Amino acid sequence: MTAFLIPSLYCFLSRVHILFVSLCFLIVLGVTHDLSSEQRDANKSELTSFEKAELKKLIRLDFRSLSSVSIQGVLGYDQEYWRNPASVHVIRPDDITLFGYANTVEALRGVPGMHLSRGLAYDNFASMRNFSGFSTQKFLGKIGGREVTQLMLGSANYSVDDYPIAVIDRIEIVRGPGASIWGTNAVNGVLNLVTKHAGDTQGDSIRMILQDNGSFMGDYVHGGQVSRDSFYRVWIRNQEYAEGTLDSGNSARDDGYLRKFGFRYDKELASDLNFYVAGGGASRRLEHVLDFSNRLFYSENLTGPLVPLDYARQGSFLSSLHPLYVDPLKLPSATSFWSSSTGSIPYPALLTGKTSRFEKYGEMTNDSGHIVSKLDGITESNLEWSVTSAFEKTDINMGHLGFEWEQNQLDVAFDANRPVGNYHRFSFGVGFRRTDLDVQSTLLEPFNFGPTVDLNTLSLSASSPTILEYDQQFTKFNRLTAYFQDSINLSDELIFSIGTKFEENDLTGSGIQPGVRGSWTPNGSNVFWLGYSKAHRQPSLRERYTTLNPARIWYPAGATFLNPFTGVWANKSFAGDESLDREEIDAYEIGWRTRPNEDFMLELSSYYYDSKDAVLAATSLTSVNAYEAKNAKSFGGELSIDWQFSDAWRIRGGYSLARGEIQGERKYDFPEQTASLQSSIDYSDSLTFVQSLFYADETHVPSDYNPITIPSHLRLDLGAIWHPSENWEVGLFGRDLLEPYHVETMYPGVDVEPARVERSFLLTLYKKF
Amino acid sequence: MIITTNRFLSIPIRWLLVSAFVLLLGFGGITSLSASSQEIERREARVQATYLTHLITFTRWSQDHLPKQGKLPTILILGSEQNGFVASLKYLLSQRNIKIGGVAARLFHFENPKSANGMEAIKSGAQVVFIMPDCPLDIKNIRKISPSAVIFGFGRGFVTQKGGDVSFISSHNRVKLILSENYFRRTSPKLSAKIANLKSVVEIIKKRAARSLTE
Repeated sequence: MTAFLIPSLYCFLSRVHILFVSLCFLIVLGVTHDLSSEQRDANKSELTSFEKAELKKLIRLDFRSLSSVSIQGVLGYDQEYWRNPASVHVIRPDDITLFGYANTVEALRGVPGMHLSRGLAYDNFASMRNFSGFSTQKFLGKIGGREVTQLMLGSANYSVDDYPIAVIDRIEIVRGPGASIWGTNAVNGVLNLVTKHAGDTQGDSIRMILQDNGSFMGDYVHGGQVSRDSFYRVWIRNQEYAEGTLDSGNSARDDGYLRKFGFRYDKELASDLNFYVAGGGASRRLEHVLDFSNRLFYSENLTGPLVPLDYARQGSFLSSLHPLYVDPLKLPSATSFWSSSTGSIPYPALLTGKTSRFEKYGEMTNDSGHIVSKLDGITESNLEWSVTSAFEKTDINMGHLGFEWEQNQLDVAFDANRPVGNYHRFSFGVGFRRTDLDVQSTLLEPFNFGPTVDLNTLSLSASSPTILEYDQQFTKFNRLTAYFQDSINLSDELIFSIGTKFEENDLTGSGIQPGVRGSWTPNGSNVFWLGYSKAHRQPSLRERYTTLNPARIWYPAGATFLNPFTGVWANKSFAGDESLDREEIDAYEIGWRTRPNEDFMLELSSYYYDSKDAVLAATSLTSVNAYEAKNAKSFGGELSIDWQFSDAWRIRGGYSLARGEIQGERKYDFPEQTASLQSSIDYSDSLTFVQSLFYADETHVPSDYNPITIPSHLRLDLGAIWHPSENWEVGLFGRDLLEPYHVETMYPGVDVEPARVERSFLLTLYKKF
Repeated sequence: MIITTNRFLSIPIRWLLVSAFVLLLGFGGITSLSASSQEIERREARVQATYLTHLITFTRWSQDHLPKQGKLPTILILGSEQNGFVASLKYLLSQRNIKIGGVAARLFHFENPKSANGMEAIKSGAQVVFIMPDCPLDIKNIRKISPSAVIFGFGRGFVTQKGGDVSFISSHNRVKLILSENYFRRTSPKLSAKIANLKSVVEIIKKRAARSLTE
């Protein structure tokens, strides 16, 4: 029913109405204030359902974690606080191991409002709400205290930046822009992975996952104590990816490995002064493909239609009287790339129903290292402060494209909050980021088609351009941020936050991102909240400064003014757009959280986003730029439940509706409906059964030359977890049990077909601390 | 008509919304609502109750200090409170089955400990006694009647001056523990030394310092 209610609500109520309703809502709460206060006075020695649920969480915390629970929260920071006026989902390490997920990103599949799709064997793509795109993720990623969203592609690689489960404290997913706190790029939300204090990981922990296709992951964590108040931990991980299969049945050639290590050292310098330093490194080796199957064309002249080259080649075998006959002398010589086909894929429009596959596999490497340190304390005046610094070095080589960049990035931030009077808590901070890039493009031999005409300038070059070129003028970037927010306790029932973030960066200049949020608790079982944020997203460097040369067009002899002798290859380029300004989004959100008792929680949230200059991938060969800025609208909502049905049975479920329009046209690059239902049943103290059902609507993968439709899919996972002793966990899981395989997504820029997500079985072994 | 474009509409809406919140902010500033502190006090009480259950778990009683066979170990709360502390403790006990000496503990709360029932409960012996600020009985009375109890209370002076074992204080937006060194050193009831390492949350008052402060 929600599926119909939410769009209807936004169709029939304009934002003026929403504002009016919001104000009425505030007036009503004022009127009901006295009544609810009286009611509360009568019951104040009793616990509300939310308070009971909070106690259940508190009792699970150890002494050290309990010591960091603040008495007065700061809205937007204390994400688990049930009165927080935002749509928040928290994933605990047990949620990850319970369902046999190899890494944290897989656990996002059960988060309402998020869509997780699997491309090749090694990567899951996470997107949130609408217009997340495919190469970009329009939410902010923070992992282990670092902002991991990369400037070049506007995305993060959550597999490479992942941590062993044993060191993860929690993953907070905030849906919706919390721009006044988080700043630029937190457009659709924030993913914040928090790691544990080294003192909480003492001893040894090991986890292994073995999949029936041969994929393997193992990690080992060791923690120890240096002195009475200082602790350390070290860890290593090895992940081996088995080769998958493409939709056509061809090998995906996506096998490889990821090896990682990390450390953390914590020291309590004084009663209210803590320090930690953490770091790590990762190395990943994989193959990836650039597929030219649908990017090689034949055209009789500059103004004629583009015909797939393979189509023209098939035409050369027809009778010369046939209307589709092409003179073989007009085709390019057999020594060029297009003649080295590696199979075929279905293409019903062609004479044979198939087209040859022209592709180049290359090694995609990712080597990275980082170090983070944080000093935090509380002064006598109750000022809570922290200074965080991080340095990161990344070297990514996209060997299939001949594109490599090395990035050095430094972050320094100061954050603080303190109470002011009885009702206010101010939060404020400043931050600086410096990014240095060294980008290299290499023309790989297979893509050198010889003398090539640039169609934009009609000039002839001696060789083909590289696939991806970067404007070398832009390699150093500074970003300065500052924010201020006031969290106001107006009464027991009513809390508000108002604040803004200021940002100055070399990419999009200055900007102010204000936000206001409020929550009303009329009684101990219900919380209503609403918020408005103005959020910004800066275009990635890829979107602004790279030129993509993804297609070649053969003009045969006869196009004499280009090449009077033999015909010529021409290049169709898609430049980035330096005029792309920042995306600006006005986000309106409203939500309701209810706990009729401590074992059941229902949360409903709804949003309306109005985006100006949303950066979107170009979808036509006639487009001038690779990315275009368009105005977009999206709206939707999420419903989630968490029900401890009995001591032994817990059910969690979610449903989300997300509808988007770009310049008035409805788009499907994000599934309009997703749903999940997860259940765990404790059969005995040592045996638990888990069941998960996921549904995702049909999506359309946009592409400049081969847009595809991903059918809707339903996924069933089952598992059994056995605890032979307190610290050991053995799990057996079956995934995607309803069908042998389905497809979920593909890289629209380089692939020609998606990979299969196949039915699989996993064995997990986990020894906890 | 320009007035129908979304962009035009969004600007006054934005300002109206901000203005509404600013008005409410001002309203909050000039009114003398005191309820916000109650929210904080209730959260504080929940954290304190959780600490208490942890401390019980980390405490060892000798057999002499445990109830005779067939009787249940007891937690006593003496005095009144209205922040949900007792309710929190009751709830945690129901959820976690907190044990003292391997036996599930029971909880009694007496708003007036001098009542006949209250005095009888104290005399019967308790393993944990929590003294609320308005409790008319002092620590000496309780130690005489129930020598095997760990005595909890509020405020630094409860340990440094009055001779209690553990007290809760609120400092720097956190709940912290003041512990008597005696609680670690005596043979029973004795707190695990592991807790002493957590100096961000625990402050240990040495016996001599406590005595000199008392003097």
